Amino acid sequence: MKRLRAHPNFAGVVILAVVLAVFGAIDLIRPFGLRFSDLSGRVVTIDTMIRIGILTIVVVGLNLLMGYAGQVSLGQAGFYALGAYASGVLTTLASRHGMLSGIADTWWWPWLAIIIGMLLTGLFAYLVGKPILRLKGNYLAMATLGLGMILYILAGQLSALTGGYDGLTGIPRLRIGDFALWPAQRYYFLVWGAAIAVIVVGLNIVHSRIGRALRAIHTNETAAETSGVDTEHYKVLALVISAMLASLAGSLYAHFQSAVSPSPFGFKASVELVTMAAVGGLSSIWGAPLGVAVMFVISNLLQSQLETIFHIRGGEYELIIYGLVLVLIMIFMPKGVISSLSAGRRNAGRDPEEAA
Amino acid sequence: MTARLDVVDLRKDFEGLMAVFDVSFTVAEREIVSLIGPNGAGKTTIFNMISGILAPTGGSIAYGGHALAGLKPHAISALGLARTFQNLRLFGNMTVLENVMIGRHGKSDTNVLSTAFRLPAAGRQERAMRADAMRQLARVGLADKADADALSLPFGQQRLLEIARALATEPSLLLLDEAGSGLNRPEKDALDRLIRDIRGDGVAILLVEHDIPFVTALSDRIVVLEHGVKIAEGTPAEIRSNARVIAAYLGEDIRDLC
Repeated sequence: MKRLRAHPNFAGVVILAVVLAVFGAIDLIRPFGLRFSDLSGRVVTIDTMIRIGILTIVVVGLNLLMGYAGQVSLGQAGFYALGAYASGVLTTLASRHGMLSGIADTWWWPWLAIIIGMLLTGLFAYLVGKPILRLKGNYLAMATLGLGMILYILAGQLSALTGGYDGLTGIPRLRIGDFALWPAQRYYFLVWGAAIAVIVVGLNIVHSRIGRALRAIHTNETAAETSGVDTEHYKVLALVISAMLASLAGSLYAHFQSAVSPSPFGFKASVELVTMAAVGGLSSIWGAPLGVAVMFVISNLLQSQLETIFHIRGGEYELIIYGLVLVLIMIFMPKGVISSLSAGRRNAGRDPEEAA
Repeated sequence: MTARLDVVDLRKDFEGLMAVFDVSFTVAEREIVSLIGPNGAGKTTIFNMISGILAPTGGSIAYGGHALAGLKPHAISALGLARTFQNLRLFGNMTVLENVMIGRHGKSDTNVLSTAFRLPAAGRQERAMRADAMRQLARVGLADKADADALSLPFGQQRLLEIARALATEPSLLLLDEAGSGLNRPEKDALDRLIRDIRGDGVAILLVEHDIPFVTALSDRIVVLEHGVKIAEGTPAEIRSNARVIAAYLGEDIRDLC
């Protein structure tokens, strides 16, 4: 009963927001010449923090889809790409094609492009979701894998629109009126503001009638149906939400890089996203930022170690690290790092959100 | 609207195996009807067709005049049919209360935007769902277990929890698939009282049951199936003296069982 009165994760959200604001402020103000990356022994730079924030947005969606609704997606990078390319294409229309030159120069056009991207990606997810989500387990995994590959290949092949494998450059930085959200120290606040908002939305959904329906579908689709839950509707809804979040993250990525090309959106990216979600804890919204951060730190550390010890460069070895971490996590912490962190404070078997 | 279940010439063919063959029966308002028969008689298959989990090969099912053909289980649930499962299908990752709240799902309509942004309407409906679910838990005697994990309950209480979840959908016809199996004598007596109590509130009940004394004490009418075919239908007294039924329960004299 008492759970309902206050936001169950109010304290967690406030703590996260304050900590992140302090990190950001350090880099913005640079007290005594200190930078954020110095404090973390140069393992975590402001750049890394921005990437963690962007991917947190994707992984929150993946948690809703995989952890709550129990629907596997090995093609989430495809939706991420759709957002990145929607922003990339729409904001470079004037410079590349001489279209919409009056509008495309305004400060609000890139923001509108983000929303257009989310709506288009959501619509796309809705249309493909209807047939695809009839599949279960491995078949769904294969279908989403194929979907991700198709989007990846289209990004490379539709060169008139996407700039092909070279990609698009000259994507403008975001600004509000005349206030530019750049350099990175400023962009950091936008990205984490968005990520925290997405975490709050994710928590709200999880702790609602809809979150309960998603969990019911995950455990027993037949019982959910006979108890009055339109399971097809909610599976598609979870896919649409996750796709729209991935699209938002893709747009933020495009404006961060100021360029997009197909390479970061391939199968490898989808696997990394699933790994991050699983490492953090699939059925926990808090697992998202945790999983992303843990994977970033591990792969940053290991990559530099691999280079110094074996004189090999990262690249392909990164995927080995991801695979290895995924296997170890599945063996030793099947419910993710978050569950181990909160294990002492929660009743056995209850969802980790309650304790977070 | 008279909420009557009409099953007409229902047929289910599992790739050549005739599981249910031209079975017809009705369940009137407030009636308690039981489907009995040896294992493999097709009782659960009929339940699965009524609740929309399996599509019939032939025949028709109508409830309150609505044909159920082609409707998904959640739509059939919205028409006022609820069911429990022989092999319990509780949501193991939820509390007892949350399990019952799933049954309230269809009676609430908060959408994704109002939940995502935690609008007041969503909170109001959530509180209402909780209160409604608590009422159903109290009814089956599980109110004090509301915050326990569903699967931590002893078996008999898990059966009751499934009934509470089904009742939460506000059915006018409740299908109980072997709700008494695995229960001890006192638990069965309590179940008997609960079923009569539910009927007292105007809910019709269709039972699948193996326990013949339990069924004959409770039912207004009994439908007997054997190998997918209806071999008898009537009041408990009529069934008890039916020669075909006695033969079907090979070796067990049904009169001794009653």
